[in-house]
Amino acid sequence: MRISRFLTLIFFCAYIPVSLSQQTHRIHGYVFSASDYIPIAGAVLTVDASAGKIATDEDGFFELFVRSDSVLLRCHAMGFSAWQGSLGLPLQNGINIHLQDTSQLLDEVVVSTGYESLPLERATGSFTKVNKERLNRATGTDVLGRLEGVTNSLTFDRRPSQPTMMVRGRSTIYAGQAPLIVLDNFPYYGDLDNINPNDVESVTVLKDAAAASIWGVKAGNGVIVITTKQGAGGGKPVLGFSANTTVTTEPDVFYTPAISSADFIDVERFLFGQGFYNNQENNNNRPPLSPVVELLIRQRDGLATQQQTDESIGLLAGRDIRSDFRDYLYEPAINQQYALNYRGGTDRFSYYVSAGYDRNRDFTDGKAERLTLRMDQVFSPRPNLKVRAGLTYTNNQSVVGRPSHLAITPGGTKSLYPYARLVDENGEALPIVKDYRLPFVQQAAESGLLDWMYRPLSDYRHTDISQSGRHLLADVGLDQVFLKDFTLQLKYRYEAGNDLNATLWGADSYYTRNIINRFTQVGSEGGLEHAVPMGGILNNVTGVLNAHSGRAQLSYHKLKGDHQVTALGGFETRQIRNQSNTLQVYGYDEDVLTTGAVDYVTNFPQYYNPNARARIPVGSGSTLFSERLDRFISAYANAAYTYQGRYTVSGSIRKDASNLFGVNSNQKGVPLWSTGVSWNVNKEAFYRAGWMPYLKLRATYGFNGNVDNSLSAYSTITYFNGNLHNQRYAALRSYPNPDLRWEKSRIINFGVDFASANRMVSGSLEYYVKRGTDLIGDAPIDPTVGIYSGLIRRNIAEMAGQGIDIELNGKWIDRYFGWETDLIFNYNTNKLTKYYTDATSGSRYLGSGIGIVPIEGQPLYNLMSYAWRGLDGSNGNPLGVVDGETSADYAAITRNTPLEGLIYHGPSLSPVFGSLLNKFSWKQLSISANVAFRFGHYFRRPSIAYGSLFNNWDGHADFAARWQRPGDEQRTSVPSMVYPLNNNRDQFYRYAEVLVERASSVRLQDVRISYDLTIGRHRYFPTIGLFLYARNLGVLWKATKTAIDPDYGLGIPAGRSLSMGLNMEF
Amino acid sequence: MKYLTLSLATVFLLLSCENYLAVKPNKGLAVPEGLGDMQALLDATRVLNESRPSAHIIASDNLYIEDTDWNALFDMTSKNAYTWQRDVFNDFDTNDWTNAYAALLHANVIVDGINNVDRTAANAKDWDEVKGGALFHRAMIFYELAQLFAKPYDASSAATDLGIVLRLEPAIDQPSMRAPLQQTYKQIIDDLKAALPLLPMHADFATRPSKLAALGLLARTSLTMGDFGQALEYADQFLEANPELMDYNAKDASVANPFEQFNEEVIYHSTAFGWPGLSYPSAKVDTILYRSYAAGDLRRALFFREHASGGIEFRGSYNGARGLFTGIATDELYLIRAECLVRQGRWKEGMKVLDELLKMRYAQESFTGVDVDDLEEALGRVLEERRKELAFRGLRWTDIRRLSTDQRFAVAITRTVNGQTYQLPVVDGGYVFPIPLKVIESTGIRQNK
Repeated sequence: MRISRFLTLIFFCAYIPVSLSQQTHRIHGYVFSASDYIPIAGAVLTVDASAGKIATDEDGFFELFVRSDSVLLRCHAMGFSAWQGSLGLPLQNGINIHLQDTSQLLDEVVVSTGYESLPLERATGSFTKVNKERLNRATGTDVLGRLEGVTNSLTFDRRPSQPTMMVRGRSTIYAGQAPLIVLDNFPYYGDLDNINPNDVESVTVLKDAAAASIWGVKAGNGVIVITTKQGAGGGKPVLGFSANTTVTTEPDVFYTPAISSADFIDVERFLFGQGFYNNQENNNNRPPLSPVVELLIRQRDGLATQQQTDESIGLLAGRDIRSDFRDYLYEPAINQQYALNYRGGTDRFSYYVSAGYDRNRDFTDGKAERLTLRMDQVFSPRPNLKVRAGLTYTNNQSVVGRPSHLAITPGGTKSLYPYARLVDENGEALPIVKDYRLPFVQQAAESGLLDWMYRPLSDYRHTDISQSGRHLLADVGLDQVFLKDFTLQLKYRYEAGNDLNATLWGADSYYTRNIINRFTQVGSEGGLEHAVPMGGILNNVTGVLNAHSGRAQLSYHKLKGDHQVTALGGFETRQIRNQSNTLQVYGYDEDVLTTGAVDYVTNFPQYYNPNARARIPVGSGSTLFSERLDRFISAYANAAYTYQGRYTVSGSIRKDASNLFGVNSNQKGVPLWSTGVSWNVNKEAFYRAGWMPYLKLRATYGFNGNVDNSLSAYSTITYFNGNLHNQRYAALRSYPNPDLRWEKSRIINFGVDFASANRMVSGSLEYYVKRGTDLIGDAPIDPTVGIYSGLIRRNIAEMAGQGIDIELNGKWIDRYFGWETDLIFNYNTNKLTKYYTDATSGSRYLGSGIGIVPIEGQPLYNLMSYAWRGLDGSNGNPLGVVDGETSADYAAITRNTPLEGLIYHGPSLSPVFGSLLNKFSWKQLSISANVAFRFGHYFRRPSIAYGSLFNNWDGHADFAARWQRPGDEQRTSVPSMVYPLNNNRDQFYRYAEVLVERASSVRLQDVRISYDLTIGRHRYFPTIGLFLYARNLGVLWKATKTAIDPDYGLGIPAGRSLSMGLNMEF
Repeated sequence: MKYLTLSLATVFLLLSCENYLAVKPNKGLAVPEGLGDMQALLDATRVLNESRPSAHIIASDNLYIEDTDWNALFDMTSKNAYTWQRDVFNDFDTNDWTNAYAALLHANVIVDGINNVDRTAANAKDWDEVKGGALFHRAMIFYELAQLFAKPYDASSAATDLGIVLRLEPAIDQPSMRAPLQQTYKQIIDDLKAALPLLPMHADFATRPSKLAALGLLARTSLTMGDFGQALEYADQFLEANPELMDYNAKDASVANPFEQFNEEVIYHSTAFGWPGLSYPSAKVDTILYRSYAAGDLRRALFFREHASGGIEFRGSYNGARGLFTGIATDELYLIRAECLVRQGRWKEGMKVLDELLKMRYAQESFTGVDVDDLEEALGRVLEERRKELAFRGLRWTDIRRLSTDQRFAVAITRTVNGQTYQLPVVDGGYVFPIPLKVIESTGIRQNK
């Protein structure tokens, strides 16, 4: 205060000499923030005539003297918009100047937690909001897929058999790892594919405890809140229409490096010479032998000459089944999507009505259709009462087309031999070896059985696999405001789904012929009797979902002076019932709807091996009826207090109980809670950084929960149909676990939100620390207690994680030509801090490099390997390390290598990931491109495994590069082929250091070109947007030199897709 | 008023929570508590009857594996059991040890849980049968484990020799310890004696234990212990109540499997775990065994099938299909009785018992009766018939072990695989299967040498 007064004095003194001629007038007053009446210190006031300047003091007070009858007074302060006014002098009173907070002028972002909507500015928690524009950048039938690459902190994992989506990394080991999906107010239990993405207004990801802990025990994996479009009161009705078509290229079957036919045949010849096939040849089950082995057997038995055999085999050697896969199985997929909506309303009534239709054809000519109808209306009979009713109906149908190439197998664990053919020269479908030896199958046909051949390319025409579903979502809600500040909300949702998965194996399908043949009985006179009647086999699986969710919530909102309070509390109950039943009938005639009768009791001898007996399967699985009922009761409360718009304190608490645990465990549960603070620094008087008018700091602390549905507190048994005597029986399913409880995840979150002047650069930076306790993990237990695996699931593990989420948006140029950049940068890492790890046996911890491998002190996703010392120059044996010495003692390596003897490479899931989106626009045309990156992780590349090659016919192209003669060890690391098989040698090579690669990659995820055709803003002209969108455009850079795309692991990468479409609004 | 209603509703909701949340999530699940649940557990044939220890069948001398087949075998348990290695049960979590102890847990859950079910006049019969059945299963499991994982019974050292882990309660937090061999056999006998009065003479199904089954196992156990007097007593009791044998003359050798599942001789049904090395064509019948069936012996045709491609397949399982029968059948009791009589010096009586059995095994016209001159010859004959009649039932291993100390009948087995010769160890109890390493690591119990 002293200094500013002193400065005033200096200014004042300086003016004295030039202000002698006119009378001196005093101008004084205060400068306030217009939004919260807080005095602004350091605001600068200038007077044009005199070029004088003065700054306000800490109380916002200013005082200056001018020698003029009128002045133009200007006032500006950092973080506030400028003010100016003409004043006639003298003034009778002081003046108060109110400056607008520029951050208040920013679009207010409102996020929804599913319980309330709150402005991001006042929130303490961590939210990521994806708005309509971002969501609609991508096309596609499902909503969540559109979040990829545009959502801060969300990891998408495209490797096979992995959970696809994680919020801030994995928070659990074995419990459910999917984030909770909330549709508007309630968790959604149906198939997410039932949601029409065109009905979605925005998606909010709740990341930290303060944001998510209101969801209690379901929030442990993060919460994704989908907010649908609603009617808008007041405006004119709007009719929207959109249509788009996407074409996706078929999977590249040549991506998987397969052994060549010539090499495969060489191996078969070699094994044949070793007598490897003798066992299978003489096996009473008549297991399938490949065509080459059959040819060799014929030659051996003198049924063919060597020359004939060599010629036949020579023909096979030149083939590659993958060309047939490419030519006859796959075609580009086409997705079409149409959506129509109409919305509008008045103060008292608003509505949103929509219809969506999707029509997809996949790579194998499978077809799917979806129709969604939605209606949502809110009416207010009185100003303090709102009633909402919503109804969404979805109908979907799909039919499976041709089999995928992985589904075409000779049966059992065998892969298709590489020289197979699907069609002959005339385009007729050819059979492949399936389930039994070819001579047996031929002989059976001669004996009067049905044709026993499997022709993959025509068989699917006789098999009808379809799915149809209807899903209904009904919402009613009531908001009653009373005593001015209170609102009572009652909400109820009913969700119902009916699904029918119907499979009709026609009379001509292989499946049906195989069953009829297997159960064919040879009578004493040699006559044939069919235990399974002729005709088709129909299998219907019906699933019924019924879920009720109800909520009663009281909220309080009060703004008075410097104080703003919002609070809510309520009770919630949910019940989810899933029922399913399976029906299988034989001898089904779809034309006249008749079925045949079968004997389910007799253990029939099988035609292929009369020593083997089987009962006619009652259904496809052992359980024909199932019913699951989950119930939850929860109580929750949440409150936030804001002082002067600057400081916010929030808290949230929730307690859940469910029927999973039994009453004792429910009572033991501790409520999950969170708290947080935030501080809008820019609103402080001392804040002067005008270049950054918005700066907010926040910190939160709290707990989320999670649960493993498959566990039980009690020792339980499961009932089954039919033991050896066809009596029902029960088997132990779980062992008593009275200490079963919710998993808990503690999250501490620090965040900074900022925006520069005019929002040229804005964004947020967050740092979080997670600590999971009571995590469900496998504790080792003596297998002697009666547990095969020697492992038992208990709440035993602890995990620590941390990470950084950065989001930066730059609007570098915003004129006719525009340039914007969005950068998302995420870092996430975790470590198991408590786990039962057996350090003496490292081999237990060598995973495929895709899934999780829990080891104390390491990330859940980790990659380790055996030390590699190259190949032995004399025999091509791979060399490892035993007790520090180079060794080829594979049993010792695979059994005795301790954990610390393994090489730790790093995580197998990228700790660093994100995307960089640039958008350029010129007038109505805009082009944007999104580049996604993942860094810092490793993967295990597949190579040849001789055990797999011999037994499963599953070869790898590395076979060609194997060690064959001394000197080869200089150029290759692929071990030589040995016989008899040495499993441990295969194991060692599979998990050796030499097969580990860096997985970092940068890819061009998509490019979008759009054109805004709007001619003018006239009310009769629609707004029309056209776009082209290309996705999966390829890898720009990757760390590995192999052809493998590490983001897809062993799967085939998604094909490139191109969409075009238009959006209109009238 | 509205708020009052709501508050009341809330209070009501909370009060009714316990019932609301007490419903079980999955209808297919149950907490085992009623007699019906116990009976259903006892009927879990998949667990209790169908995966019996069987690596010792590969290790014994009734089968051989050719080099090509041994080389082609993927399964280390079969390969290593065949050559009596130390690394046998370490590749799969499902093995002869874990299968047995998983079945034991079922039995113990019943033995423990049945005490919480009231025994009333109305349910007494079922209650007794369930409890007796669980005790029988427990004894059977212990007996089979002792044949693989403990030394042969020798009364002079049984008090100090290591037996198996005797878990008698379902609690999974109790540590496993190896009981002395004597206590192991005592437990088997005690469980069976406790089961005897509870079980009906015949069970409704052959997969359920019966009094006959308990008598049969008591006889088998006593024989294994060298207690011929007791064995004879139990065999007598058994055969007095149930002497019926099948006449093999009525069997048809032309069908795939001449014997039916649950046939007249099957008193208690169980089958061996299907190690790949157990079945044809990997496993071929020992040619000496095959040739030992004399002309007119119907078993040669009924038990075996000669393949043109070479090798003989065993197909005489009382399981009626694939899978070796390891249960208790009447024919075994004839052989126990015969042997015990001979061992007690009553060799002529013993040969009469043998005649009764063989009469049903030989073609009617060709059977003339067993003709031996002295006790030793009689003993040799009965042991030979034991091997021939009970081939591939899992009993040969025990016979090899108990005869190993008798110079007259000791069996020496050598095998040659890929040019390397292996000999079945005989000293100090001979070859005893090693306990899975996983168990040794987690319990610290003593490994077999």
